Amino acid sequence: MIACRSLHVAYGTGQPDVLCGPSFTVPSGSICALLGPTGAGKSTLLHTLSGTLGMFHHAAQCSGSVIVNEETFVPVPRRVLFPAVGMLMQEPHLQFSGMAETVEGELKWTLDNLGIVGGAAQKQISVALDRFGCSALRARTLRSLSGGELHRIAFASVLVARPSLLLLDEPVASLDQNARAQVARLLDSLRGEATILFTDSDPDLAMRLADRIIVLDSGTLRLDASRKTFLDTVDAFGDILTVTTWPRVRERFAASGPSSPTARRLRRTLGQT
Amino acid sequence: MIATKLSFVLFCWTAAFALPTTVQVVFMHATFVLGRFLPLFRPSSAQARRLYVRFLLYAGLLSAAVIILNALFVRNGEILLDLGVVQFSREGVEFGLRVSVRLVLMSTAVLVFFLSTPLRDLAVFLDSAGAPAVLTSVLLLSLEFLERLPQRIEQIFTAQEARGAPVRAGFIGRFRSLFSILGPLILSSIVESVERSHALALKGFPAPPEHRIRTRQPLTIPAWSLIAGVVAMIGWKLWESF
Repeated sequence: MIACRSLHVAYGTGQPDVLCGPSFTVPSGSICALLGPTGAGKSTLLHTLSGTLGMFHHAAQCSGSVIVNEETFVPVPRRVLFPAVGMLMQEPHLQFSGMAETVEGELKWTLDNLGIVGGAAQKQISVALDRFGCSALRARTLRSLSGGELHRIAFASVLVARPSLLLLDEPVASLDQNARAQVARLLDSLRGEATILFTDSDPDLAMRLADRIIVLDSGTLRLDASRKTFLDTVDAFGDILTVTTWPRVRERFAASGPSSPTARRLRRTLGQT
Repeated sequence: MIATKLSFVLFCWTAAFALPTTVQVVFMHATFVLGRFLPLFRPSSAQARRLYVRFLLYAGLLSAAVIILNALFVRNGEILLDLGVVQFSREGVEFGLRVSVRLVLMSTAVLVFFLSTPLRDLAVFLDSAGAPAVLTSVLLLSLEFLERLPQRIEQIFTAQEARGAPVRAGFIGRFRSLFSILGPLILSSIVESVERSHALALKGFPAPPEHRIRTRQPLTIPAWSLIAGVVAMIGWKLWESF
């Protein structure tokens, strides 16, 4: 479970608040999308929850509290919560340690830091790579991978530590449609295993996956609701979100009638009966 | 293997102060040969090989300059060569030789170490040896910076060119546009360094000491021998001074 209460964050004394008191709870095992335009405070929120803000930005002014897996931090964690929290950042090439040349080496390095070596490490690496369909890449060097492959390996290198909370900063940004679908399937397969909080400026992935959707605007919470509620009120966020797919889907839904196959598929996707 | 090479550098540095110049000359030449032929000490890339050859050339020129200057300006003792206005003294030559051999031996040992050791391997070694996390982080960030530098410069060049900056228009044009290249280069490097520091921490770096010990490599027999040599040289110098 992850939660924050009246969280205020500014990057220095006298600086404006980047987060202006959002309070929300993400239940264990659920998938939550954090939506908002650029500058809404999404990445800052993820860095706050992971502990990197408290650890690296010593001048940051924080108030409120954060709860991660039953542990309460007032105001915010001052250390990185590894391995309980895993975080995937936007740029995959920045995610790698630089300590290893091969895919296997990169995943092994994470496990070395946990003190997991030998057969146990090999097994965890195999499971993580299998999950991403990357077993064939195991011996490849990181330099030889394509952008999509790098993205998957970066993700695998986070998952190999088996975090109970996954924070993903725009996990599908700069990916093509196929790769986006792959990430969506993967996140769906993790449902129930880990609590997932991901950011995006485009609500498409959120509409496909999220149990809950949080909308941030200039550091302020605009919505914390179920996917269905978000869909019903999506027009209210036209000023801050670019909803590309869903208006078209809704038009098709309206045009085809409530008992049509399209409507049934849509209801299934949304979890409605 | 890195421990062996580091022991070799330590051995050469101790030898540069503890042993007579004639022995240092032998070690200096041995280091040249090791850097050229022994796989462990051979430069790890073609670029590193070119750098090594260039270093040997400059080391020769520097040594010659140091010897000549000392021979000219140290006027004590026997005169080896008298050209009227210019005189070369034996003491000057010997002093210049001592200084240059010491410098070349020390710098060759360090250079051979760095040219034959990829920064990544060094970072892994330092981390497992329990070096401060800051040192390893700086090495890793430097490695990332150096690896991406050519690509990043090319990107910035192209971006500035697209905006009409004369970045490839002769020497003066390039010099003028230097600042428009350096600004984005430094800024992007700082941003990426911060991100990478976050990424390292998010993967549990630095590992707790008990986890590092499990991945630590034991010292090899050559490494132990070199360390024993260092201890022997220091012991001999101390015994000599008393």
